[in-house]
Amino acid sequence: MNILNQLTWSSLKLNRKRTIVTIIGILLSAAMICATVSITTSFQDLFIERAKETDGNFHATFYEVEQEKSKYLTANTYTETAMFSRDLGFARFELSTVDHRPYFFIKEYDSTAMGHMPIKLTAGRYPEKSGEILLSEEILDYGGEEYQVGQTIALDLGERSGPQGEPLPESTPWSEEEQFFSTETQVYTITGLIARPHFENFSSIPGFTAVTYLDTNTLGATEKVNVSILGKKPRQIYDRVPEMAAGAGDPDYAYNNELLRYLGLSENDRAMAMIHSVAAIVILLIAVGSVTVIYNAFAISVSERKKQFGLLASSGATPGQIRRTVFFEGAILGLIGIPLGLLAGFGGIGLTLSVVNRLMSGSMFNEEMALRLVISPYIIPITVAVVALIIFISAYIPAKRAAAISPIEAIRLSEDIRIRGKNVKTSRLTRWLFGVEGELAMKNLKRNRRRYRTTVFSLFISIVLFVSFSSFINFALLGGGLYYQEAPFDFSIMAHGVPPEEHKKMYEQISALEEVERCTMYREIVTTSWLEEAKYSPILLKNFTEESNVSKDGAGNYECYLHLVALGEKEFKFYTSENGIDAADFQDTTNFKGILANKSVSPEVMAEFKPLKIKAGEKLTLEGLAAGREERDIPKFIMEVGAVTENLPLGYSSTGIWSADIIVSDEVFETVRSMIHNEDDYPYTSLEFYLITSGGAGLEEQLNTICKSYTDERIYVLDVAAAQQEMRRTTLAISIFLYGFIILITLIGVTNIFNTISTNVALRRREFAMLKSVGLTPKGFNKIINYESIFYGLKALLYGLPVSILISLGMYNSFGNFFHFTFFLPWKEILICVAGVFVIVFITMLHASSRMKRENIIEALKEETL
Amino acid sequence: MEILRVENLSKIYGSGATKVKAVEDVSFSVNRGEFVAVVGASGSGKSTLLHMIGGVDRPTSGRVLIEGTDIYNLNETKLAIFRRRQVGLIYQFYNLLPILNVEENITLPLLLDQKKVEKDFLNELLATLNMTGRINHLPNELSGGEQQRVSIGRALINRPALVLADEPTGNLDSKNSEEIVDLLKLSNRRYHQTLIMITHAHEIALQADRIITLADGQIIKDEVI
Ligand SMILES: Nc1ncnc2c1ncn2[C@@H]1O[C@H](COP(=O)(O)OP(=O)(O)OP(=O)(O)O)[C@@H](O)[C@H]1O
Ligand SMILES: [Mg+2]
Repeated sequence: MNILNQLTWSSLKLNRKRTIVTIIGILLSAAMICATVSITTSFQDLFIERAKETDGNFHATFYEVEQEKSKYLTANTYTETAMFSRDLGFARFELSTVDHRPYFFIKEYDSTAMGHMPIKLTAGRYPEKSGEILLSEEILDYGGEEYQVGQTIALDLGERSGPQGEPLPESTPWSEEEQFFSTETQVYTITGLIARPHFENFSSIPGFTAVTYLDTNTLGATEKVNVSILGKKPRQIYDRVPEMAAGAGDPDYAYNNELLRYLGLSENDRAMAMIHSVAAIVILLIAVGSVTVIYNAFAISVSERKKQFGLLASSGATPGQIRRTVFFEGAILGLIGIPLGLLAGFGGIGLTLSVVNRLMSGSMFNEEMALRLVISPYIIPITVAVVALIIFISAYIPAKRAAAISPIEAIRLSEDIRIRGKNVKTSRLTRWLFGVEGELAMKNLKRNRRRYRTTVFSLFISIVLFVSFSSFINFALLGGGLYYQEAPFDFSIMAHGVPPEEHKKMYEQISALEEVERCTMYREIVTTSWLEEAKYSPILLKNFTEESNVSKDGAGNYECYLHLVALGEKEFKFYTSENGIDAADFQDTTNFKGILANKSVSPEVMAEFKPLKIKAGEKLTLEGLAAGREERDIPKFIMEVGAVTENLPLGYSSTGIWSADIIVSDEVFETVRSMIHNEDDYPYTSLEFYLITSGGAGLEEQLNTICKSYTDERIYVLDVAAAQQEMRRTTLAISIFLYGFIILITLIGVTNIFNTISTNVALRRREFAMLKSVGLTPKGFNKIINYESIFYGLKALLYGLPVSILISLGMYNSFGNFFHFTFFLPWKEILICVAGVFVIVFITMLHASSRMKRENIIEALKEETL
Repeated sequence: MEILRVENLSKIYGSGATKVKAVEDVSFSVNRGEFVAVVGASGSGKSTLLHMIGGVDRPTSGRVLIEGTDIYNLNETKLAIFRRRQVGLIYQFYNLLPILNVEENITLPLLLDQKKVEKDFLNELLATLNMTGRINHLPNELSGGEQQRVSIGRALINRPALVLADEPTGNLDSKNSEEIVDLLKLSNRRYHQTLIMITHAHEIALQADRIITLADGQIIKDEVI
């Protein structure tokens, strides 16, 4: 080590506290960058795993390749793994309870395909030889209760054909006219069950999936199979697959887009690009925060060693040599800080992920779909490179400044204090308010601009990062719809296709359940009415004019959607008595009367409002909406608004900004319905139930059973309480990430402030000793420190808050299209920030000066800061 | 009348082999209005003794009594107020506050005491110090001698009972030296101040009422002129 670097080394050791704090700054920045990259790769990994589960673990598939020619694909140098599969076709499923799915749809996979295709074993094992089969779990729910693992079943394989005997393509939905001709009967042993495969969601194949073993050895040379491959270099997939197809007799081929997309390879879908750019923005934020800390550390160190550099320069050190010692300092700090940061980053993120996974297990992601800590080989070099760059940028200006120091200037330390002697006038007010101590504090700030500026700047950056990131979190949580509203019910059921005659029976059966305490049978008929402008609230009108998809007639009336809602007899009574209205007034089936529930919750203004200006006693002309209403003569009818309330009935689901609800009795509802709807409308009749229950484990199952006995269609029974629980956990998990990040950003800021302030105080050791020697009391000393803290804090807030508000506003505007709420400021966080700034400044100042207060004056005066 | 009494005062730095006895078992007393010169070879403990008398350096043992009060028995606040009101200390190496200009540096003890600055006295002081034209300059814009004169002004502005001067003329030419010594003597006489001055210059020492000679931290001679 040459003499210059030796000096640097000893000055680092001498200023141990500052060295440690700077290393902590580097450590934090390395840790955060490493954590951000890890999180990104972990999420990518999660998406990839999910894509493998839903769409399969292969890159591309060649369809209907002759067995002979398949060798060209499987033996291709590009192919990493190849697998065979085939659709065997339909077999009758006699026991099916679902009318439009009377078949099994049988697929054949070879042993590699079993593990790679998107099927998930829930019981038993994969087939290992011909004659073994897996069944979709759903088969057991819809008629196939008797099928058990280990059992053998005989399946009638065959062909579907249309009424004229023409063969039907696989994907043709079932129709009553079709026929099925069995061609052979095969006996299979059930070796296991699989979850309902994801691909069934998007296919119209009228059968339940079953998977049997494909023995590739028994295939004839011209038999056709599908070959799926995993490529060796996924990046080349779009070039190689067409080439391979050309060599294998030009079969059709398709890519597994879902997987390729999350591998970041998809040609037109840049999903990963978005994730990566979010990560890049976050890293940039971290970099800005870190550069200020590390820059400050170097700037302080250089100005502290100014006299040293001056002496070195006067004894012949070249500017280049001096510059290099500053970079040498950076290298040493980086060498210690970066490895520690990597360790802390991996440790921290591993811990966070394990907490998050525990929260999330069994919710948003499947149990096996945990976020894993993925340490990609790129993370370490990326982090090292970015942090090294941060250190270099931070050290650059201080290094240049150090090299430019002229010897005499340095020795007299004349540069730090500007020649401001003449024009610094602290006001009489300052003296009167704060005494001499305040004046001294003020003078110090004004004449010692550079040091003052570094402190205020580090505070400023911390304030801006904290407040703008808080806004970002608030916007993200709100924009992501993650602020949920407590629903007043704990179960909801959406049923379609139940004939109206059976509604009542179904309602009675559900309310008869022991656990059900209250039950709304929520049915609605959508009607419209033409209302003049004066009847609408300004909020609605504003939207009418801005978004022109609202109809307006010649007379200037707007079309208003009014939902006639029935609640079931019991709940209607409950609702009327809750609102102090007599239910008996609303039973008349010749002169209709309803209750206007005049409240809407608009996500756009984040507030409840009254959509209509209509009073009790007014009569509205309504027109029903029904299928093919143009051809049918649907009568208009009059509805009197018998009462107006802002209470909503149990089960109110936001009808949206364009509409309002009129609550009517079941009698009125039935009468109106028979006027408007006919048989054709039944499938469109809405039927919803909202329950308040005492809970109980088997309730969901019981509700499902009841519902299935009324209709074949899919019924949605939602355990609202559980769903909200899950939502809460998801929000919590996301908040952990976001707030974890903000805590780290704050820590970086605090490190910075600590560093700057304590150095500034330490540099003034002699000055304070001097003041004490002319009679400054300990109390006066504290006063000076306190006033300086206040001035620092105020000044930083004065610049920091407006800038962060502007940045928040900018963020809101640039994401404007995503957010459906008006701009707001994170007041809570701003308050925390203001309090935090003062607390941190005061504590640091006190800490830094506590030693000085007791110090021997002469020792401090003799001290040379060299 | 006795104003200062020093009893068995010692200051020892370090321990073992590196132990330095800067001041060793020194006792003497000074009356109000006396002008005492302290002489001795470099490193003989003059500055150390003066600092302890001025209440800015703590002794290892012994006592310093000023007007009967043991100053090292006072708490920090009282000691600070004592320094502010009773003592004017002129350091060997002029110690000025870099952030304050000449005028502010000189009036600092008054400011700390919330006292009004007597303009006439300040101007008189500035004139004697030859600093009238430079009241708005900051210390780093002054020469060594000028800085020394500012620190003398600061020591005298409060008309302290005890003026302690550590080679106040060390950086000055003979004409300036004379003027400064005259100023100190004038102040000493006019305000009945006690003046203790360290000096290497024989002719200045001879102007004192009494000369104390130190060697190796001990008083070897204490003679009245
Ligand atoms: N902090 C310290 N640690 C160790 N020794 C010290 C310390 N400060 C002073 N000394 C020693 O104490 C002795 C007296 O120092 P002092 O400054 O009082 O001398 P002085 O008589 O004022 O000399 P000069 O005429 O050169 O100013 C010297 O030998 C010095 O080396
Ligand atoms: Mg000395």
